[in-house]
Order: sequence, then structure tokens, then C-alpha cells
Amino acid sequence: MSALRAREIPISLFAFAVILLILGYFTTIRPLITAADYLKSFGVLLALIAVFLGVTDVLRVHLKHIAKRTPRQWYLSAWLIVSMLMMFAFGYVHKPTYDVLYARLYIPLSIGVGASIGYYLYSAFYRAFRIRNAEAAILFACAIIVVLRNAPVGEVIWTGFSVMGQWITDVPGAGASRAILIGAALGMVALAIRAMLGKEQGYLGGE
Amino acid sequence: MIQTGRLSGFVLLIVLSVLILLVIQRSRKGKVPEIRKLAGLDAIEEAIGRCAEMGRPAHFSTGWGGLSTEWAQQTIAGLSVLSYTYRVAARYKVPVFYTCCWAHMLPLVYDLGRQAYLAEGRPEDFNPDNIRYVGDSQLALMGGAMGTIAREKVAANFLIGAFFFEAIQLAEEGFAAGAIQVGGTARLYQIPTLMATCDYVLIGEELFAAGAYVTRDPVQIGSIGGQDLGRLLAFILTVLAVLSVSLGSRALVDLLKI
Repeated sequence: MSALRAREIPISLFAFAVILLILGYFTTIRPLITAADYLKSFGVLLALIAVFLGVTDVLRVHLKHIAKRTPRQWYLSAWLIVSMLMMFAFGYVHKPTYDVLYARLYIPLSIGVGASIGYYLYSAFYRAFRIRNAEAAILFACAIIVVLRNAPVGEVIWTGFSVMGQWITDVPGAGASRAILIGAALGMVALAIRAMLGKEQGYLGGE
Repeated sequence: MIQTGRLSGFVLLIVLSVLILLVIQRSRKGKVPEIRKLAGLDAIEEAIGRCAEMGRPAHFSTGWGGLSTEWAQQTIAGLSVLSYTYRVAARYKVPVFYTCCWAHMLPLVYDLGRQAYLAEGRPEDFNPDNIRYVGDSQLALMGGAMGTIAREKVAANFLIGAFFFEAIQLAEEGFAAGAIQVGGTARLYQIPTLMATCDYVLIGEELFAAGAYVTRDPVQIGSIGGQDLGRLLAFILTVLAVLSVSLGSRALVDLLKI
């Protein structure tokens, strides 16, 4: 294994970045704060540069499909590459056309995909709320009360829904959420320590 | 030296880190803490086994969090589970489709997959084309992952990482494909979604413990023991703060705000 691919390098960089960001957040030492800010900007910049890598990857995978005439795929790959190159070209050559394509094609399609969430939520929660045991019954009752608290019709049916719904949200709901948050925060610290010690290597392909 | 309002947080971070390191040290000496079973992680092998029996692939997503945001830790935890999933899949010869929505994650996932298959002695079975980059938009992730799940008729769907509103669509598509589903996130808003749609769920801290759990490495398990001491500390501080405020003193609360 070459020196550049050695596990120690990414682990050392990870540890350096974590320590610098922690010190930048907690201390008032100006050079550390500036260095931490630079590091954050560098991370964002690196992510942006990586977009070119993404484009290369899309071209590699889909040109392969076109060359192999993969059944039920190659013409979709061709369409994807044409669309991508067309958006690139119009973005640089003719901005008004790009704007029209973006506003009249991409945005409505995005809204369509996003809007389907409503349907999926209904079907998922229908299954979740089938009463199979005591816990599911409690979950169902709480959900109905909170829904009626948020829906204007709930207040009309009975004003108590508002009080009960608020209590469920503020007391058991907030308590459980905070417990999960505290647990998750502790888990993050433990994960960071394991990664800095070079023990957690799963994200690098190790054990 | 320390920013106003952040001293107590800094001190707690140091105390917690020391506790974790102490328990790790104890584990190194053989006193490994016991940890409870995590059904979500135990189910991974079962799910991949089901894929092998049905002759269908699996799908994995770490969500929209990426590595350049505040949700990076959850993505890292998700990648650890992906690495384990690749290893199990390599043993059972099951293809795993990974939908990648951040270009900066591509080299990491390629390397991770290659290393996992190599570790199982089957580097030739690793197919980089099964890592599908769909674009940095959340809607692209939704469309791309849903398309893969439906077209490839996956028998297992793993949604482990930092999830946003794409979680519901990916999980529902998995359900429609008849896949066994394992979810996991520490994002509060998406935990109920995954609970409602997945067969097994890793909630909050369980996600971060996943890497340690699957390796069974004593040192890593030790860090989870240290985490439990941190939880005990948080519990004691909460009880003391509630008692002191109930008795009319805000001294402890004010101390924690320093």
C-alpha cells in the first residue's frame, strides 16, 4: 500500500480537523477561530469541486450503457446525457433559454415529486396506526388528539383537544425528544473519539 | 480564553471524553462492557440472506446529509453500516445498489466498497456501476433512489444516515417493492417516519453505536460503555436541576449557562 493510501493519513486529517473545529468553536483565540472558518470554507469548496467528479461519473456510467445498448436503459442514459449537456450549454451560451427550461420544466417536475410526499405520508401512517397492540393504540390515540389540535375543526368539536394536544407535544413529546437528542449527542462524541483514535474505520472501508 | 456561554459545554465535553477514554482503557485490559442487542443491525444479515434466497439485489442510502454539513457524523455512521453491509453482501454474492447524492462522497464510497469486497476475498464481485450518482439535489436523490428500488425490485432496503423528507418516499417505495427495510437516523423529525415505514429502526445513539456493534472490537465497545457514563451524568444533572429549580434555586441552571 502506498504512503498516500495509508489509513493513517485520513485518520490524522480527521483528528486534526475535529480538534481545530472544536477549539475554534469554544475558544476566543483569534487565529484558531480564523483557521476553523477557513477549514469550513475549504470543506464547502472541496464539495463544490467534487461536482466535476460527479459529472465525470455520470458520463462514465451512462456512456457505458449506451455503448453496450443495455436493454431498457440505454435510451434513458442517452436522454440523460443530452439533457445534462443541453442545460450546461444553455447555462453558458443562452441564459434566457436556460431560465425557461429551469422555471418551466425543472421546477414543476420537482414540485410534482415533492408533492407526492403527502400521498406517501398517508399510506405510511395508515399502516403504522393499525392497532395491533397496546403501544400502537396509545400512539394512535395521541396522534388523533394532536391532529385534532392542529386542525381547525378540532377546536370546534371540543376545546379540550387543544389543551390535550398541547400537553402531549410539550410534556411527553418534548421529554422523549430531548432524551433522544442527549443520547445522540453522546453517541456523536463517542464516534468522534473512536474515529480520532483510528478505531472506527468502517467509513474508510476498514473494520 | 473560552467563549462566553460555552464554558460549561466545553467542560462537559472534556469530562465526557475522559470518561470514554477511561472505559476504553478498561476494555483494553479485558473488562469489556456488555451492550444490548440492536435488532436493526442483527437484521442486516437476515435481509441480505433474503436477497440471496430471492435472487434480488439490495439498496442502500445514507440520505441527503452528505459530509460537508452539520449532519456529517450521521453520514459517517451510515457509511460504517454500508461497509458492513458490503461485507455481508460479498459473502452472499448479493449486489448492493448505493444511491449517492453528493459527488464528494463518490471516491469514499468507491474505496469503501472495494476494501470491503477485498476483505471478504471477493474483489472481482465489486461492481462500481452499482454506486449511482444522481446529482446533489434532494429531489434527484428521491427520484434516483425510487427508480432504482422499483426497477431493480430490491429485496432489502437500507436507509441509514442523515435523512430529510426523502425518507418517506424511499421507504414507501421499498415497501411497494416488498423489501425488508432497515432504517436509522438521529434526525428527530425523520425518526417517526422511519418508525412508521421500516421493519427495524436504529434510533439516535444506536446509529452512532453501529460501527462498534458490528465489529465487536472491545475498544470500540468500550467507547459505548463510556457513553453510558455520560448518559448517567446527564441524568444526574437533569434530576439535580429539576430539584433545585423546584426548591426555588436557579444556581445549577445558571452554572450550566456559563
